[in-house]
Amino acid sequence: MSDGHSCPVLSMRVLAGVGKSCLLLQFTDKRFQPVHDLTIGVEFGARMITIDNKQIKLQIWDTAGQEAFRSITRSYYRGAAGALLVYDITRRETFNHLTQWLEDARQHSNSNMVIMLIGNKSDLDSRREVKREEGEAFAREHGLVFMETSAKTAANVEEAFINTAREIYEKIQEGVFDVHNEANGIKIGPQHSPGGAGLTSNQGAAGGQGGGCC
Amino acid sequence: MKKPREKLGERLGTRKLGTKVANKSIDGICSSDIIKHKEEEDRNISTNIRGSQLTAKTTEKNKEKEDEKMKKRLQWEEQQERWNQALNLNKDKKEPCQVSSGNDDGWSAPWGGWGGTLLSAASTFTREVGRGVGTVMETVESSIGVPSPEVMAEEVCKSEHQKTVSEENTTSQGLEEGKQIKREKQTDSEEGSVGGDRPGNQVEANYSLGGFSLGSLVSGVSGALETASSKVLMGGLDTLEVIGRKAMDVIQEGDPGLHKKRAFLSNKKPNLTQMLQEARQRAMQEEKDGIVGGGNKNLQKPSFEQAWEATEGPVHLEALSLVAKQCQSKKTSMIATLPHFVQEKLLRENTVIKTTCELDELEQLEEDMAEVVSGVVAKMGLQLHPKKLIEAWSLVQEKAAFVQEVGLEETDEAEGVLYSALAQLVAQLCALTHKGGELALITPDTDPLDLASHFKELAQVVSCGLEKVADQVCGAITSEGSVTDSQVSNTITNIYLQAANGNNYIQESLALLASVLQYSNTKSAASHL
Repeated sequence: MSDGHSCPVLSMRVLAGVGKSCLLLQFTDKRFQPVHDLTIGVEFGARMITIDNKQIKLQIWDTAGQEAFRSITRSYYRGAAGALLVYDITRRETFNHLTQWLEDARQHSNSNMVIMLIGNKSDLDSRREVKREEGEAFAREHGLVFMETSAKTAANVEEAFINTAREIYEKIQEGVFDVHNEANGIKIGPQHSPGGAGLTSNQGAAGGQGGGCC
Repeated sequence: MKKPREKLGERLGTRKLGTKVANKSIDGICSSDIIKHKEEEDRNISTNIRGSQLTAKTTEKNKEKEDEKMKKRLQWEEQQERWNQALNLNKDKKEPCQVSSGNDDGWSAPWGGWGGTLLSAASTFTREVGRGVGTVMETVESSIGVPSPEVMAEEVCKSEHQKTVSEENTTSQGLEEGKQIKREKQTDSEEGSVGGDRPGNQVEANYSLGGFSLGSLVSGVSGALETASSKVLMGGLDTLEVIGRKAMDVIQEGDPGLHKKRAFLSNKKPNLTQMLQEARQRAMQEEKDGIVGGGNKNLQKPSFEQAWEATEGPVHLEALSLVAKQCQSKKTSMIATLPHFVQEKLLRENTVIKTTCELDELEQLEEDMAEVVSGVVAKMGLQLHPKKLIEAWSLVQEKAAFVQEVGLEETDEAEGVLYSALAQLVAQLCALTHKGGELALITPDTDPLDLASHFKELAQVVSCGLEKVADQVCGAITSEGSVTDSQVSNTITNIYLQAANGNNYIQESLALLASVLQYSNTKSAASHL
């Protein structure tokens, strides 16, 4: 912050669920860590991105995928502007649970929340249990954006987060999100570097299933 | 400009004015005039045909009513006179009079005093026109549509006169019948049904007799009315236009083209670019103000807030507050379903939890913080790892030592380093509290009251740590410089103040945790029932 952004900062928060901590780590730290502690409640990650020459702080809330935390993670949808709904293409049951997660997300979030469907582990095509077409069909049916990613090879990871952020950004431009209402997960706050002002927005990525990410 | 006015006139005229005139003026015309005409006729005709008894009877009957009507009419006349003066109606008024007097010749011959009657009727109409225009003035409405009620009323009058005359020519019995019908007519018109609603056969027949003169009279009256009211309307609308223009001038003042107001009214959705620009300008303005006000040094002054925002602390607090909010509402609805004695017990316990989660006066931190923290966390029985908090504490101590070494010259920079270390410490505590709250909700067999006191102990330790560091640093600064030096005392005050800010966040996290634990307590009480 001490470098002083001449440009105001827009930051967003994404809660990445389905225990897709690897996805988050790949996005924020650009590294892959095959073994992860189980997420307790929620973990946070943040990264600055640039959209339309505007600096945006994307804040990601990585929610626990475990059933036990479900009632807690529900509280976190409220403050989210967007969500990544992640399933594991090598595990059919994670795909089957999507409807439940989507219902939760829709029920407890802002109705304008941007939801993106992510089929993770696209590098493990040989062990694939869920066809790409199935993911596409599900996304089409529920009006979501669909993408297959690999936290391991970093394929599409950047795109997934940034596209979600861009969609939120466009919704802000259209006036769909009231940036003055922090319950939308977006806030314009003072940037603490001199001469800067920040626009912060939260985007939640709720996650699908599954203990072991990656 | 003219067309819209005419349209406006049409619209308003057909709707509102018609009804008003019909209700008010016609009332007058029909009831009073008919009576008056009747009386005049009676006078004229009685000498020729009827007996004096009959005349006396009729006049007596009508006299009382007439007196009243005359009073009213006098008032109208006065009013109308005023209107005429104001509106230059005099010319227009003549027109219908001439028309009616022209008819006079043709009509007077067979039926005696008819011309006079008609004339007076016509002049009454002009008065009514005046009144009608008055109504127009009052309501700023237009002329079209007005004549029709007048015409209707006139037709009624005329037919009645004729009927009366013809009947009187035949028998006195017929006259009485006619009178009855007349009375009916009067009531009809008084009810505002504008005559003609219930025309007898004779009345209908008489229509055709009056056809020609009626037509010209109507055109005259309506013409006069139109001219008069259009004048009024033009005047009224001109005034409105002036008012409107003036209003627009005022609205546009300081906002040419109405860009701001238009943007305000039509485009409520925020424009991001614009907002960001404004935010930036505000920030620059604040910066400027800072330089002007307190010098450049003040602006660069590091603060705890600034350091705090850079940590994960605010996010943890926000997340915890989301959970706490949910717990709060769940708790309220859950308690309502429980039996009364359980409610009382819960209320007591929840109050204890709340008071436990309040920071006490600071004690001195005697023991090693790492040990205390590890011990407390272990007692909680949750899957919590105090490693990060302990690391943050060692960082704080390290930085405090650094600040004590560099002394006053580098205070600003040193302060910044110190605050960010302290902020890290508080953030780690908040993270731990947040995690602890979540785990308390999903871990079975935890005692919320115990947890509350453990977390309070933890918070107390960290809070004491903040105080201790502030003491150390300030002590070092004081020993180097003179206490009386204002700059030194300012610095010391500021350091204590900033450290106290950390306490606010600790207290906030504890209060949020209290809500979570209260729900956890309520939930377990409910499950043990």
